[in-house]
Amino acid sequence: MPWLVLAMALICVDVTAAAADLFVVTAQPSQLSTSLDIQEIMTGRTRKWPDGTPIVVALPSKESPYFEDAGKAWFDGSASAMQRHWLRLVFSGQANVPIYTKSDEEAMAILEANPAAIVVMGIEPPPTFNVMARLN
Amino acid sequence: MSEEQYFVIGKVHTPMNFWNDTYHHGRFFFPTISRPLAFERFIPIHDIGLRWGGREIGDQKFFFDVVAGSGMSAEFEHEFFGNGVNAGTVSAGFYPTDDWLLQIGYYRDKLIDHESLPGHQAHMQMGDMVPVDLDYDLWAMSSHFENSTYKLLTEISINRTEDSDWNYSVFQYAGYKFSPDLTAYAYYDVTSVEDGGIHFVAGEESRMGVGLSYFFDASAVFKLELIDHEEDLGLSPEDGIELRA
Repeated sequence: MPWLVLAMALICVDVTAAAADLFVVTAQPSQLSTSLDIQEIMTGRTRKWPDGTPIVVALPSKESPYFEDAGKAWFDGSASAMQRHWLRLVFSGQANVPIYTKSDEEAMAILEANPAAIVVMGIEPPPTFNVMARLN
Repeated sequence: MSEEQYFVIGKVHTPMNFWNDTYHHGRFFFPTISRPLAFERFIPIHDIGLRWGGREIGDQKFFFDVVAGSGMSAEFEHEFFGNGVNAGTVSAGFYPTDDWLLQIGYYRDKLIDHESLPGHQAHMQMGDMVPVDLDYDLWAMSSHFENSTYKLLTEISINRTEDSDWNYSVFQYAGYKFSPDLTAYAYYDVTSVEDGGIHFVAGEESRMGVGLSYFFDASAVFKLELIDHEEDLGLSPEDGIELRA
């Protein structure tokens, strides 16, 4: 009978895994960056930090596990719409090419190399960096 | 030059209107299968010369372009200032809201030996009085609105050569996005020449269409249109109703 009690307990346990969080991270000081709308940055409408420095946008590439999540978050659920949107901006000369990252390691490397960058990662960054948003 | 300003030397797309400035030859991005009719008759797609422009100026994202060019005559021959500075383009615009762009442009050219240009059509013979070179004036206005659900594009132009009346073109597009990848749309496109002088033949050409556009991903798109094409110029064999993909 103990095995029956154990089996029933397991059935009642919620075994659903928690959805992963997505972190939008920058090296910019929080007092400068939190005033900006992330949607505006990710869609290329806001292209400069408050101090006038051009924003370097790093988006998840097709190989990244966050590619579809980024599309859902900022491009009406379509990751290919995200690519087309930036392709059109670049093609018409309205924006610079964004960087596309495959992994959290690549995103961290860009963040460390470029203080004007904004990246999307699946892990919480070191406290020296500023988390502008946390999406689930 | 800076984050806001740039300078270009060479063959450029004339910054006359939103369509030419945004889509260039990028058929993948075209809202419809074909370019507006005005590009076949009135609006030069390219010029060869010097272009100075600015973008993202101020809160309303003001932008401008100035082109000193070789003109349609030299562009046809791919000559860099073959006849000197023969054409000029000035355009400017801004964003009244984040989703809405307004733009106006002016183009002035001297059509050297106009009869040899691709846009030339039949004219009445006037013997020795027929001028070879024609002054050409073109104005264009664009309004583009796009959000996650709707896309509206209006392109209007007027033009004339020496001794002709003003001719005009109108392109109106309206699209509804069922999703970021699927859009249903309708458009009306017309060019009209009342009195074309000795360069354009008088008459009207129009296209009305309804269509569907579906993006498979970031590199492939399928468009299907039902088009009613009417023209009284006798130039196009495609007059009538057609289904085009």
